[in-house]
Parts: sequence; structure tokens; C-alpha cells
Amino acid sequence: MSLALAAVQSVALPLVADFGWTKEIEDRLLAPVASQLIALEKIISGAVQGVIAAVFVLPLARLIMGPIDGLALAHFGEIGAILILGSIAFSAIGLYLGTVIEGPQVGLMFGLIIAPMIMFGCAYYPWSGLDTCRR
Amino acid sequence: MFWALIVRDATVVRRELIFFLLRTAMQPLMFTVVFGFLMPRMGLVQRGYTAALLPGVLP
Repeated sequence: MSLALAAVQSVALPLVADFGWTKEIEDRLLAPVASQLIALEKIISGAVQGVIAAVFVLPLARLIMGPIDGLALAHFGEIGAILILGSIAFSAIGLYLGTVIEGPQVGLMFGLIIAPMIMFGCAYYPWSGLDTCRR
Repeated sequence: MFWALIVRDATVVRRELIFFLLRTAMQPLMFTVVFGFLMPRMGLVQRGYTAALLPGVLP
């Protein structure tokens, strides 16, 4: 949640603002760089912010919750890979949302896309646990 | 030129790092306190729940 929120927000919100009043996006697009590179740059900077947020939250969460099954230094590589791939994915989603959504409807993004993703995306319960709820 | 864009975005983030962390980390951390600390101690959720909660809070 921290990674996804950070990555999506850091790309989508400024982008909505850029497309809106200030038209800042036009300055960027007029820069002597291919538009694809500008999009790539947005994704990279959003992904970096996502990783920063996750790296900030992880030790605090471990501190608050105490020892957690399956969380060990041995899994460092896997955790890192998931963080990087996840933040790239969410930052790309944020780029898409930021361009699709019109300025005043940014609030809708959280109500209609982010909130269902958090609740029904099996973030707080295991996917396999749904099987027991089927009767 | 591409690098200049990245440096610019990094500068913006560094300037408002505290607000960035407040905006993105407060909600997951409060979730952690309630579902990972208070509720397991109250016995409302089982102890092993933290292992299912962390992957949700983090990414």
C-alpha cells in the first residue's frame, strides 16, 4: 500500500496538475527530448519514490508488529525485486491514470480505483483464504 | 537532457521529503498499528495475521 500509493500519487497527481492550469507539461514536451523518454522519466522517478516509501515503512512496520513469520534477511533479494518491479508497475499505472483523468475528477481516482484495489486486491488477506469463504 | 529531467524531479522530492513521507507513509503505518499491533493483542485476529498483513502494507 505504501509503495503503490507513493508511486501512483507521485506520478498521477503532478501530471494532472501539469495538464491543467499551469500547462507545465507543454514545457516538458517542447524540450528537445523524445516524448517517450519523458514518459520513461516520469515512470522512473515515480518508481524511485515508491521504493523510498516502502524502505521507510518496512523497518517501522517490523518495529510495531514485532517478529513476523517469513520476514528474514535471507529474503532480502526477493523483497528488493518485488519492491522494484512493483513500484515500476504502479508508477506506470499512475502515468496512465494521470493522463486519462481530468483535473477535477482526481478524487474519483481514489474512490473508484485505489480504494477497491486496496480492499479487494487481496492486500490484507491471502488470496488462497478466499476459498474458505465460498459457501 | 534526459538526465536533467531526472535530476529536477529528484530535487523536488528532496525539497519536500517530509511531506512526501507524511503523505505516503502515514496511512500504512496507522494500518500497521491497528491491525498489526492492537488487534492481535486484543485477540481479535490471530497472531499469524501479521505475516499476511505486511505484504499488503508494504507494496
